[in-house]
Amino acid sequence: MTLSGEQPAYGPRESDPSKPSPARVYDYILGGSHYYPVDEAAGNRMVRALPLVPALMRYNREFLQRVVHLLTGEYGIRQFIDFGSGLPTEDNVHEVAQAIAPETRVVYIDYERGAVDLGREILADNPHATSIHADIRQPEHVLADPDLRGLIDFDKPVGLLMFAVLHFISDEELPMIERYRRAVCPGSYLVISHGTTAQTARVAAQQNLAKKDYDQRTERTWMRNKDQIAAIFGDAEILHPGIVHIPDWRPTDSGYTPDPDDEARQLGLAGVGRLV
Amino acid sequence: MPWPLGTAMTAFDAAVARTPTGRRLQLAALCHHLRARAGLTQLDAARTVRPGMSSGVGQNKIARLERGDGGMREADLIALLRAYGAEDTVIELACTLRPRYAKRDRWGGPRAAYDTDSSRRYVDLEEDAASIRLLGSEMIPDLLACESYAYAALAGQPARLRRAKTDAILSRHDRVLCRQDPPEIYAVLSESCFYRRPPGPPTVLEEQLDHLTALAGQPNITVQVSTFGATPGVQDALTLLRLPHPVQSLDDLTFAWGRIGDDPIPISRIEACERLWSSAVRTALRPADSLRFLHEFKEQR
Repeated sequence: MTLSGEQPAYGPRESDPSKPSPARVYDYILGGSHYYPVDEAAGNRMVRALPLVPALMRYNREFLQRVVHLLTGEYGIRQFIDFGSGLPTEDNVHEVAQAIAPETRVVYIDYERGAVDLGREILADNPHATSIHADIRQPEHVLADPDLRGLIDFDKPVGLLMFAVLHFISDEELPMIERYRRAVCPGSYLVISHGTTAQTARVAAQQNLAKKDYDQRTERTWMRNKDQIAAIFGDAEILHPGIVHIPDWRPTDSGYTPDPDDEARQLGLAGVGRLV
Repeated sequence: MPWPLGTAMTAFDAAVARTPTGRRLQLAALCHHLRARAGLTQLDAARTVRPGMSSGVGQNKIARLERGDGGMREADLIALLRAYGAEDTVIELACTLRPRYAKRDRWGGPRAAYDTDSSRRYVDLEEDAASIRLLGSEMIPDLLACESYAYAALAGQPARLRRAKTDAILSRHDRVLCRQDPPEIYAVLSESCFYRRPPGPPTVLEEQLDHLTALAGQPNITVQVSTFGATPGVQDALTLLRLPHPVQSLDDLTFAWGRIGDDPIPISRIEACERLWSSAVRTALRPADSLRFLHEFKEQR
């Protein structure tokens, strides 16, 4: 925080109980316990406008579990960096990955002090995982962080996890993702889930209301379509089935069928790319 | 300025509630907002408007106005809003919202079949709601019930009352589900709603399953089933009604009820209701899987 009490536009920041934060609003909607009244109010305003938002957040969380399970279990990834991790509470990356391979290294990054402090508390006894206080928009800072350097070996493949974080990055800032793609070796993976505009006009109108409130009072967001998200992957090979609605990405339930009427499904896209 | 005055009247017109209850609660929200914007306490406001009168009496009147259960003479309302520094268009809006009947609104339409003030208010707000969120723990909520189910569920009531209440439910369907520009309806129903068989012929539940499937096919209606495996699942019936604020740039109004006939859930507990809603949606079956559940449930019978 600056002397005037204002948060800088960039960079890691202190937790401010008077303003909702994305990490805490997410925690609230996922049924966690690490949020302030302002986060609860912001979450409620979002859910009132878009009552199925809690299901979207569940889809996102389930995608995280499927993809970390796959990368650890099938593709042999043993290092993850989770950008904009939020509060690393239940069923998060280190739990899923270390259940398969206990030696898996996990670094959580968040720009909010409270999320990082809680992460460190949860991970205190975990020698292979930590949480660092940094802003994804400052790749030089992030990549030079000594704690991150201590855990991640950039000569070996890394899973770069960007769950529901890139929609907080403006179009002008987005090219910095390339800096991360180039920092890791071939055979690494880039994982993205991202907010998108609903296809049906009715849901898009509701979404617009929720977005307006969230943008003004919590954090500004940029919804992107499939092509825009594909562009973030650069020259990475996008794995089957491509960039799809979040629950459609390699569902584990054999009876799963994509449901075009599911409003929560309409609101998010996901994809995984193999870096070459 | 908290709202764009240039477009004021058209924006206001669109947000005026259909029913007297809705308008009264919109007026309450508007008055509360204007007083807060002016930075006045209820007591300050009472003293400004009626310097001669006992300020306790005036304060009480303002408190009731802001709770939505007291009228005010038009001249007094205008004087009060002027003291808040309200713009003319806003005062005009407030006068549009002001109840026409001093003590009690006339109870017509489906609400006439309900005998408590609380259930009548509920029926009105249901008609005014832009979105309705329903949690069903044991019974299918009235709005989603087919005629035979609604009638069966009223077993034990005297025949004439039972018919009148069933008709009232059908009339609510007309006003809420069948009107132009219907509300967004989201329902999470516990699996118990389907195991609990209403009294009456065995076909009732089957009809209800078909009815629910048909409703879920409408674009503005989403139905999710919360299975016994879901935690915390749906423990109680709950309805959350969202009304637009009369000033559309301000946060919508949300009201919560347990069962119809209960008192409305106090504002202080609405946040807790919202948590119940979020956890129910998060843990219930996806909409498509819910429809599959209903289909399989019917087949197995």
